[in-house]
Amino acid sequence: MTGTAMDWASVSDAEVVRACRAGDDAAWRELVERFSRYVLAIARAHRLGEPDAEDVFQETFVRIYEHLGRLRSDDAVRPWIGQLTRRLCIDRLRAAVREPVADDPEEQGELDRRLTAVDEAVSVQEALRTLSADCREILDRFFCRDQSYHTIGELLDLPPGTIASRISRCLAKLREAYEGRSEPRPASGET
Amino acid sequence: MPGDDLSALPVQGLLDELASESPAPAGGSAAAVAVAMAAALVEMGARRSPAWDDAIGVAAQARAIRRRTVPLVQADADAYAASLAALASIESIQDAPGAERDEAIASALAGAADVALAIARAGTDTAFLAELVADRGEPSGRDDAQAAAVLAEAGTRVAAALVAANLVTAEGDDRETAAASCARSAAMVRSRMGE
Repeated sequence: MTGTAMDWASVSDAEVVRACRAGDDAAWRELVERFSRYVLAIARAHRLGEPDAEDVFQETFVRIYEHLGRLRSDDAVRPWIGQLTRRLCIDRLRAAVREPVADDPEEQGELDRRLTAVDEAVSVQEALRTLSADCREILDRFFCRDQSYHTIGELLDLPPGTIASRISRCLAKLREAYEGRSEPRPASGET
Repeated sequence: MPGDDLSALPVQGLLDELASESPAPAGGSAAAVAVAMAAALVEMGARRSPAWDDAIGVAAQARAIRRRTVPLVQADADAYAASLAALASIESIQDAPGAERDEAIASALAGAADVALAIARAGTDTAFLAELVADRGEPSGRDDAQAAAVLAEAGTRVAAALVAANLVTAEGDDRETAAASCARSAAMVRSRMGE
C-alpha cells in the first residue's frame, strides 16, 4: 500500500494500521484523521476542559505512535485507542482533583452512557465508510445537513419524489454494515 | 413568550398561547406544528408496515423531519416577534431616505422568511413521505397517511404565504420562488393521493 492518491474511505481500520506499521506517512495522517474526533469525544465525555482534552489528545496520539507495533490484533485498534484515551482521561482527572474519580455510581453510569454513545457514533461512521460515495452523500445531506428532498434532488439531478426511497435503501445498507461491524471486540489488543 | 419553549408546552398550553392577544406565536408556529404532526403520522404509518422493505428508512426520515421541525415552532415565534420589534423601531426613523428604510424593513423581515421557508421545505418532504406510506405501507394506514398529506400541505401553504409576506419588499428573492414551489409540490402530492 502506498500513500499516493489513496482513497482511504474504503480502507479498513486494520489496513490503515498495517500501512502505518509499514511506515506510510499518509496512513499515519489517515489514522489521526480517522480517530481524532473519537479521542476528543471520549475526552469530552469525561468532562475534561478544553486544554486538558487537547493534552489528552496529544498524549494519546504520541502513545499510539510509540506503541502501535505492540497492538496484537489490527482489527482491535479502535477499542485499543478507546481504552488508551479513557486511561489518560482518568489520569488527568485524578491529577486535577487528587481523589478517586467517578466513585458515584450515578456519575459512573452517566459516563458509561456517554462513552457508549461515542462508541456507537464511531461504529456508524465506520459503517458509513463501507457505503458507496452516492449513499454517503445522500445520507449526509439529509440527516446531517438537514437538506430537503428538493435541494438534494437539484444537486444530484434526481426528481425529489425519488429521494426518500433512495435514502431508505442507503439506510438499509448502512444498517446491514453497522450490524456486521458492531460485534463486540476485545477492549485491549496490546501485549 | 420569552423564556419558554412553545414546543415543550402541553397541547392546551400551546393553543392558549396561539389564542392570546400577543402577536407571536402565530400562523408560522401553527404551520410548524401541522408539519410536525404530519411527520409523526407518517412515522406511525411506516412503523405499522413491517412487511414493507423501506418502512424503517421512511420512519427514520419522518422522525428526522419531525425533529428538525419542532424547534421551528419556537423559532418562528421568535423571528416574528423580532421582526415586529425591528419594524417598530424603523418607524422611528421616518426621516430616513426611502431606499434605506426599505433595506431596514427587508432585513427585519428576512429572518422570519428563512424560518418559514424551512417549515415549507419540511412540509413538502413530509407530503412525499405520506404518499409513499399510502402507496406502499399497510392499507389500514392509508387514511392516516392522507391526513398527514393534508396537514403537510396546509403547513406548507401557510409557510409559503408567510415567506411571500415577509419578502414583500424584496422583489425576485429566490426564497419566495422556492417556497411557492414547495407549496405547489405539496398540493400536487396531496392531490395525487385523492380525498
